[in-house]
Amino acid sequence: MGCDMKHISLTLVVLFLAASVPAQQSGSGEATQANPYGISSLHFKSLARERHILVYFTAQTAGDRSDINPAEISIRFLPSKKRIPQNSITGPNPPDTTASSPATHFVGPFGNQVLQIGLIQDDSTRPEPGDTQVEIAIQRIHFADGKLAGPVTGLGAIYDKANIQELVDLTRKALASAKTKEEKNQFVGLGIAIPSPASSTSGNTDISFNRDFYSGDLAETARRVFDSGSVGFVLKKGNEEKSDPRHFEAGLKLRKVFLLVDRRALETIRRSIASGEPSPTAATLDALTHLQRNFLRGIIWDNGSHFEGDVKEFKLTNVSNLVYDTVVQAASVSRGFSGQTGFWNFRLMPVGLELGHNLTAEQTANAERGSLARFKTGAQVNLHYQAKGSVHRVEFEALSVHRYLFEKENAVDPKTNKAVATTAGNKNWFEADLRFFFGLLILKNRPGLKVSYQRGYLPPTYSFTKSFNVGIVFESADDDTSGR
Amino acid sequence: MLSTFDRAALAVASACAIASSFVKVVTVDPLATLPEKLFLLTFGNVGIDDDAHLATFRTSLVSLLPDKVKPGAQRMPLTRDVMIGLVVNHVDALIAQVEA
Repeated sequence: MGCDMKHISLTLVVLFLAASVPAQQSGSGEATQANPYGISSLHFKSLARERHILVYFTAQTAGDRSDINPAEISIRFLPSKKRIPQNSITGPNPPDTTASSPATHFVGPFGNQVLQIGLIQDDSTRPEPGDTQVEIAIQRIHFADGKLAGPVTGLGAIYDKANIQELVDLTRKALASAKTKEEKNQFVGLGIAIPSPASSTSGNTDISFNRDFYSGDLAETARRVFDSGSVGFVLKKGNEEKSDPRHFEAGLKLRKVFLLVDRRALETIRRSIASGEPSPTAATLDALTHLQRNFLRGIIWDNGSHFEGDVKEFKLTNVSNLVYDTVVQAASVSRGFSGQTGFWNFRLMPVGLELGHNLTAEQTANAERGSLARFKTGAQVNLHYQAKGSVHRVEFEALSVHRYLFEKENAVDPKTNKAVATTAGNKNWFEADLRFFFGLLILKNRPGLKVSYQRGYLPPTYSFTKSFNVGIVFESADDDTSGR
Repeated sequence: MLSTFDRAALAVASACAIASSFVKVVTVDPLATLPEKLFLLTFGNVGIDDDAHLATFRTSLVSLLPDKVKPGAQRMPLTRDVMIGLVVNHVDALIAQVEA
């Protein structure tokens, strides 16, 4: 690399350790058994127009239809012990009408780990008053790894109009408790900044925190204005003059998404999903194929306000601004490559505006204290590659933002490193991250190599930054994202 | 007829296919997808890997669901590391709640 590396500093970044959840839960959010070849959880739904049972197995099954012949399945309600007659259990191909009952089948996209048992809608499948549970025994199940288990039994809840909210809450809780990248990732990071300063420690800090909220939680009027929002902050800070963007922003952002798809095709699929439709036809598949033709499939419009400050010596007020920010982005679809072992996508930000006013400028009496107006445009590219059957993985992200400052703004004077100068015109920012993860396990963590590059100017002080960082990250090998 | 679960599975698979060409719906009855075990993967695994693509997925899904289910689908907590099958389970519960 040819750089004068006088110091190699270690930056320990302790982030989040995945919290262990004592009680195991299945994907459906219900209590589970520990048996490696059995039923993980199940539940019975008694709805106005259909009854069915969902069975979640502890492992993927072979999806053998002979295992789910109604003669092989025994079902009874508890505590009444009322049995469902086997001729009330549907086969894999019940008559295809809106009034018919759902089919009994394994669900392929779940790796046949989920079985739906369809039931005929009559008195024979109606739980007795006071029944709260359903018990199932299946004579045998062929699992995907060749293991034949049986009989497999399980006990689960009955959901109807009175308590269906419990199932909604359970499944939402399972969604919310799935581990995030931040929880899994970067248990400890070791970073080397190049070039590093002659003295003092070096290293860059990039912290981003967001808490999302959704218009579904608010009144209908809000849903027309935006789909989701977030509050949060971004901190970009370095310990060395030329690697210090001195950038902090915190604020609120509201987002509206406009789909770039054929509305008629969307409506065709929607009709198949809506209640009362018979099984979907080839037209549904045609509509889906049609929807997959566009390369750009969504326009995203963000509106928000944020506070931005110069992060210097534990202060934010050397220079600070209040900014209204509006941006239009177009997101491309993710495209697979190399036999679908990798994908790439990008988003364009053709136009954005930042309008605001200076709040503080403490380092000079001649500071710009008026309004500010910026035009911005940019793009982001993401690439992900993982060889088939391998745990080695490469991730690449690059982001570029170009701002044009219509008004003079406060800026860092490179000679004094103080915010006593002013600037206007073009300001570029570019950053890229390249991460390699390897299969090797060290203390239940997967080591990876991270290379980062940042160059350019960020508000509010436009301190010139040029930094190249090489780091080691440790990703937790706990890949459980199933909400357990 | 399709159960609430079948309909949730079709809606989620379709929304994934709209947000990422990495996902294909091969047949709709029975539902078969590429990747074959789509619901055991995370969004990040199939190219729905940042806030823009998650937003496209969410808007697509909401567009495909019955009106009474939309608010619940709109407020689902989604990240790139969520297993897609968890969304199927939740959407199933939301549809069942409307049809109970």
